[in-house]
Amino acid sequence: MSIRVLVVEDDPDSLELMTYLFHAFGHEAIGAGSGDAALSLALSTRPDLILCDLRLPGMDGFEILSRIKSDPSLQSIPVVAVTAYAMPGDRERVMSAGFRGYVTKPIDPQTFVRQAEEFSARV
Amino acid sequence: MRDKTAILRSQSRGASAGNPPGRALQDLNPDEASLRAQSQEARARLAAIVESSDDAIIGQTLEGVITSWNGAAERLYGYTAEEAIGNPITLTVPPERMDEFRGYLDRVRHGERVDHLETIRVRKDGSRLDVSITVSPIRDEAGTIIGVSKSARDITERRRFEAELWRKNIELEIAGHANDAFLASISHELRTPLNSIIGFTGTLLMKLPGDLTEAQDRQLQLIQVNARHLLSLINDLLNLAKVRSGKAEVQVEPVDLREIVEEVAPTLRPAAEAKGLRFEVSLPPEPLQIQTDRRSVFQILMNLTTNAIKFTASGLIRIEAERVERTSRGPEVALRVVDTGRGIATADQKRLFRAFEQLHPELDPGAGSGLGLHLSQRMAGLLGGRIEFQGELGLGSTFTLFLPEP
Repeated sequence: MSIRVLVVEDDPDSLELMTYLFHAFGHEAIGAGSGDAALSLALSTRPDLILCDLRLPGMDGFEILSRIKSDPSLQSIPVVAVTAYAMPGDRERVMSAGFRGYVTKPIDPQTFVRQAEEFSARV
Repeated sequence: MRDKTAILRSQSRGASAGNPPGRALQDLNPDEASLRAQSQEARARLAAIVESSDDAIIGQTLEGVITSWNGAAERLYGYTAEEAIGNPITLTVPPERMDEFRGYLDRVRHGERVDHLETIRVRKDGSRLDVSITVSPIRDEAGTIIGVSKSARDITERRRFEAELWRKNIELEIAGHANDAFLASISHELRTPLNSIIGFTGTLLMKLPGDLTEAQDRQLQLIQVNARHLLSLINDLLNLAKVRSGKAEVQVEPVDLREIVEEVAPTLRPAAEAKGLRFEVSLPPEPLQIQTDRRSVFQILMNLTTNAIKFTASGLIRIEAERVERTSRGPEVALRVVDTGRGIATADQKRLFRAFEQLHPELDPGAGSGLGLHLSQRMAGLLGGRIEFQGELGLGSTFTLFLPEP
């Protein structure tokens, strides 16, 4: 089943990698380079899944998550963090903030899309 | 006699209940005279003790008028005894401490004692000082409170030292946070380009954009292997930075070490067998459970085993785990990686665990940064253990990770 994924990532090459992979597997991917773009695109396109890099200039992944959770029309969309996991305690922070899950960076191109599909399928 | 009395009086600087005025010793009858002489001697001794004290000792009336003032009080406050005696003690109390002063004086008049109150006083020259004072009532034989005794100690130095310590602590905390932020930022910056390198070589190798020739496939694989290697170097460096800055977190939980061996073995067995090496695992039948950080032990074992495979051209790699009874350190467990590789010369052995030391980089092209063993040793230290080496040039190597039990 084809899903629509909103990918929030400020590095253009990483964004290209992720959208390419989604397309290759038959899904639709929309890219946003910042928190503001992400929020307005989420409202206008109603994606099935949001993938969000935690480290963004300006609004970071955590803030984007909380904006999405506090918007009644968006809060049912699962948000998955994309992160390098630099520091201890990051995993707990991510899960307790309300992300559906996380994908580690650098991503593994072979399993990336399947992971995303699983995240969007869980209720 | 008269002179002696005068000397005694001046020595005690008008300490409480001094000699009755007038009558010289020689005017008293013999019994009275000897009693009086004894009591004067006792008073003189006490006076000498008061004089020799480093703490300011001040006698006051119930209204706070100074009746005695020792040498230390002179040094502390700048007033001589002559200047101080007969004046109110409030000379030394700064305006903002007056309420506090009246408060404790009142309590002392009612029989209470004020212990080690830290406060501020003023010197004759107007400068302020931090002091710690103890104030207590002076009672006569009947128990009636007839005066107030105060001892004061200059704590300015201590205060300054404490403030300095406080500031240094804050600086260290700030530096620590800055370091954290720096590490997190560097980690992100280094991993981002690798995302593209590993990612796109991956998509190409998955043939998503199209088919590949054999040479293209081979070359892309080489890129990917090196990119993954670069990633593990970055991870090692960052881990080392964390360990060195004391920021590495260890999550202690009950771990059966056999499980860790059973995770490492299948991961590395293919690499060993691809080189024609035998790969053996020797584990005890019963659980080898200790309290430790699972991930760290895994990383250390991976490092030791990867090294063993790298430096062994033929023969065998064996991973062992067992309980060890040691006399000096108490019970321990040992995770051992044995190889029949080239071994390590005695001269090189002491350099083994140093950072950035690669014993023979020419023999190991495309190898690590030399961080592996150093990081492993550091991590072992964090777990309360250590890594030991045994072996000789040409006769293989054994690296053992010792961990405390439980």
